[in-house]
Amino acid sequence: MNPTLPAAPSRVPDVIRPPSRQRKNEHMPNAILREMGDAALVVAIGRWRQDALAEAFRRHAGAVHALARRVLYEDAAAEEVVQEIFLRLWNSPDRFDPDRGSLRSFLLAQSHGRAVDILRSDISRKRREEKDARGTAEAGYDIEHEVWDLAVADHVKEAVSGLPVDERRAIELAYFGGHSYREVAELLGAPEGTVKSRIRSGLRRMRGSLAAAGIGAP
Amino acid sequence: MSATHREIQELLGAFALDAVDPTEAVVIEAHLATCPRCRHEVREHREVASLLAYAGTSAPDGMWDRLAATLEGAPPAAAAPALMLGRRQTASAAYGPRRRGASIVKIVATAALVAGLGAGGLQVQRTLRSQDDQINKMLATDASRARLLAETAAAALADGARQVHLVTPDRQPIADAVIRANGEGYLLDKGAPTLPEDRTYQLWAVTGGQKLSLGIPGRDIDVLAFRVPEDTDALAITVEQAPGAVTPQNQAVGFGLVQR
Repeated sequence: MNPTLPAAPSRVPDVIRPPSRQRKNEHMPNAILREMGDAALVVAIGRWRQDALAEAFRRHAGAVHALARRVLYEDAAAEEVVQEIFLRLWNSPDRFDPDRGSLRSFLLAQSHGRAVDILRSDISRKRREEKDARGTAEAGYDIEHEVWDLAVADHVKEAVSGLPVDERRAIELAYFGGHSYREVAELLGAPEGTVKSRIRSGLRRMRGSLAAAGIGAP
Repeated sequence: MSATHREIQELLGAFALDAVDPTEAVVIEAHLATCPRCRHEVREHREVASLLAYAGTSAPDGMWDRLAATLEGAPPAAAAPALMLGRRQTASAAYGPRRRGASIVKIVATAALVAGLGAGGLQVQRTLRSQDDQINKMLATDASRARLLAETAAAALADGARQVHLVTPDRQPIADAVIRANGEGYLLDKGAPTLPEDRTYQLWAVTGGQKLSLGIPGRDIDVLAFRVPEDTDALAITVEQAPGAVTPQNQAVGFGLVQR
C-alpha cells in the first residue's frame, strides 16, 4: 500500500541548477540591474558579472571616494582606495556578509579602514602632521559639513547637532581625522577611557535619534 | 559578564571607527567571533558611521573606466576556462578560480545561515574562511596582517579551540593565546611593554619539566603564530638577550596553563 509518489520532474528546475559561469561581456538590461538589491548584486558579482560590479560602483563609489578623500585629503590616494575596495569586492565578494549589515556600510567600513591604514603608514605620517596643524588652525573638523545626502541629511544633521560637544568632537577626530582613540585623548587632553566612552555613547545616541526618525534601521 | 567583556564593549565604538590599536583590534575581532551581541553593536555603529560618511555624490568621471581597465587584465575577469589554461602558472591565476568557486559556495552558505538552514552551512563557511585566511596571510600587507590573523583566531575559537591567558607574576595580563585542535596557535599582545633593542620576548611550551621554544616575537609581542606539542601543560614568556635563547635564561614574565 505504498502511496503513489509524485512523478519525478523531467528536468532539473532552473532555480537549482548550478550557476553557469557567464561571459563578462553578457550584460543584463540596466533596468533589471538597477532593481536588484545589493545582496543579489553581490551574488552576481560572485558569478563574475562585470555589469553587476558596475552597478555596485554606480551606487556606492561616490560615497566610498568621498570618505577616502575626506580622510586622506588627496585625490590620487582616494582613487587608489576606491580601486582597491572594488577590486576586493570583485575578487572576494564572499567577504561581504549580508547578515552583518548593508553593502554600503561594508564598503565604507573597508574604505575607511584602508584610508586609515594609509594615513598611519610612515609615508603618510608627514602629511598627517601637516593636516593636523591645518586642522588645529581651522578649528578642526565639522561633521555637519560632511553630510550631503538630501534624503537623510536633515535627520543626520539633527542627530549630530543633538550630540554633546565632547562626544561629537571625539567622533570627528576618530572618523574623519583617522586618529586612534589614544591620539584623540591626547589631542583633547582627556583620559583615554573617557574618549572611548564618548565615541561609543555618541554613536549610540545618534543611532537612537536616527532610528526614531526611521533612518538607519536595516 | 567578565571584565574582559566589559573592556571590549567599551572599545566597540572606537573599533567601528578604526580607532583602536592593531593589537586591540585582534582581541576584539576574536571576541566578536563568539559574541553576537557585540557583533550587533559594531554593525549598528558602522551603519551610523556610513550615514555620516555618505556624500550623495557620484565618483569622479573616468574612475569606473580605469577600474574596468584593470579588470580586463585581472585573472578572474578572464572568465572563459579555456583561456585560463595558459595562465595557470601565475600565482594569482591559480588562486583566482579556486577562490571564486569558494566565493559562490560561501555566499550560498551565508544565505543558508540567514535562512536558518543549519550547522552544515556554518561549517562550510568556516572551513572556506579558514582557507581564504591562509591565502590572504601570504598576500597580506603588514597593515592588514593583524586583522587576517584575527579571523584565523576567530575560526579557531569557533571550532572549540583552547584559550590561554598569560599573566605576569603579579597577575597582570601580558598576552593571550589561542590554540587550535591541530596545535596551531596565535599569541596576541595584551599590554606587554616594548623592550630595549638588545632584548627580545620568547615564547616557550612547558611540557613536563621541559621548556621548548615556540617562537621569538621580538621587542614587542604583537601577534605571533606558533605550533605546540600535544602534551603542552603551559605557555611561558621570557625576556632574553636578542636574538633569543636555546633554553630560557631568565624567569618567566608571563605564564598561563593550557587546558587539556
